[in-house]
Amino acid sequence: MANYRTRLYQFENELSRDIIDNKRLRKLVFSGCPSEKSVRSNCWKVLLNYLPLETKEWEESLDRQRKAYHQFVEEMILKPGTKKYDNNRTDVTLEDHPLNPNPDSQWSQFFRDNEMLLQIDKDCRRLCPDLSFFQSATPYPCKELVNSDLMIETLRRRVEQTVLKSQNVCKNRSGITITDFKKNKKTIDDYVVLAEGEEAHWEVVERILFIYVKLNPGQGYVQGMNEIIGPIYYTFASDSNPDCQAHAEADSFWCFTNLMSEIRDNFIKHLDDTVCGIGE
Amino acid sequence: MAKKTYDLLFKLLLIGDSGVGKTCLLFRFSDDAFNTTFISTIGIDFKIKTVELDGKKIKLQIWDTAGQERFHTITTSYYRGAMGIMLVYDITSAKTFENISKWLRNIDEHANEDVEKMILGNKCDMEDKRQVPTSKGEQIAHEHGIPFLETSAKSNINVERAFMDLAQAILNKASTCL
Repeated sequence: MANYRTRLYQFENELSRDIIDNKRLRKLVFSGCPSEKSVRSNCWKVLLNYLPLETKEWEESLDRQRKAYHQFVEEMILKPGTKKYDNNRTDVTLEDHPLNPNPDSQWSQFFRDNEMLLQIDKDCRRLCPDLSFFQSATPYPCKELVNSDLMIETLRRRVEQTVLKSQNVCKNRSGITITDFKKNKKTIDDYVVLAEGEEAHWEVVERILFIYVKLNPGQGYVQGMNEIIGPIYYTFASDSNPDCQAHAEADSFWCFTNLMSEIRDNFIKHLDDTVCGIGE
Repeated sequence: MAKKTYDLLFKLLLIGDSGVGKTCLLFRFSDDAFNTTFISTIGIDFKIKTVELDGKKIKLQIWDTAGQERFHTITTSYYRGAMGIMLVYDITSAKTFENISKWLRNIDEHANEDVEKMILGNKCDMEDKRQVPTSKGEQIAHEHGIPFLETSAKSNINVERAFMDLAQAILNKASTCL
């Protein structure tokens, strides 16, 4: 125990310097990083180049990047979501309609996004199933999205609308029609969907990944990305510091982006057989 | 393992202010086409083109970035892997030229030290609207020891040459290392 206290002290000491010594921090972290007092969260943020080495710049840097993330949420989810509920059916025009075969059409973009969203959704619902954490509600949901009277199409609704349910119709001998809701082995109903106004942690991760993919179309979503962002988000969202928890979404997004910049090539299919891909 | 259809892979990156024609340059080079409809790029996408240089087949993976300020943190996360960077400005907009020094600083900060660079003054078909004289482009390129070309994605001037020159520079460097 005394040993642990000394280690914790070493970490705190390193993280409170004016300029963090990256090399020394790496050495410390290498044999494990205590989660107490935000040590782990801060170490990860520094080592993933999200926080600058100059500690006095932390506040400004966090503020700027968190704002930038929220602008992306606004632009990629909130604004298109509100448009869907606009009474003027502006997006169904003669130039652009759901059956428009032009690959540049807004509608075909929308369908492509949905396909990608469904894959992310499948993977995020079962993210770290041995932890109840991801299924539980976050104390810091995206306020604009969970408030149902704002009439915004959330990712949750988009997924629900996109998943079709099959139904069998059969007649019995007396001519009565029976509709039989065929239960797929794993339907969305098997997972508890939280009440309106609440949002599960996995839904936050889903939103981060959705935005990441919208911003990195060349890379796209590949299964396994959820497993990489999972621990990052978990660490920040379960930190003891409420400020770290409240901004876990934005912070995880940037840390994930920075981490991907190092391992990106492994996720790009056409690079699989090159020197930098996974096939080599 | 799949049989390799090329000898080397070069990763290139296009950067520059919004609207200077980065996507159009790439579209001209990869598909030999030009589209006048203006859709601003969101985030980062890439195109692939395989070329032949010095008898070697070289696969070029070219990343096209969004020029707008709000995407900068995303785009800079792509600098590090790049072996060559094209800095693009628009000869009909002085502002985009002034920002070249800002983009150069960005490269110093985020890219590999030995990355090959090239400066392109795009839209050189629009002589009547020119705001940046060729000599000014040559001057800044000379100061930084970087090759310079004026291009037009629309009229297909120097586009192929720009990408091939950059690829050649990377190849020359790679050969001296071997």
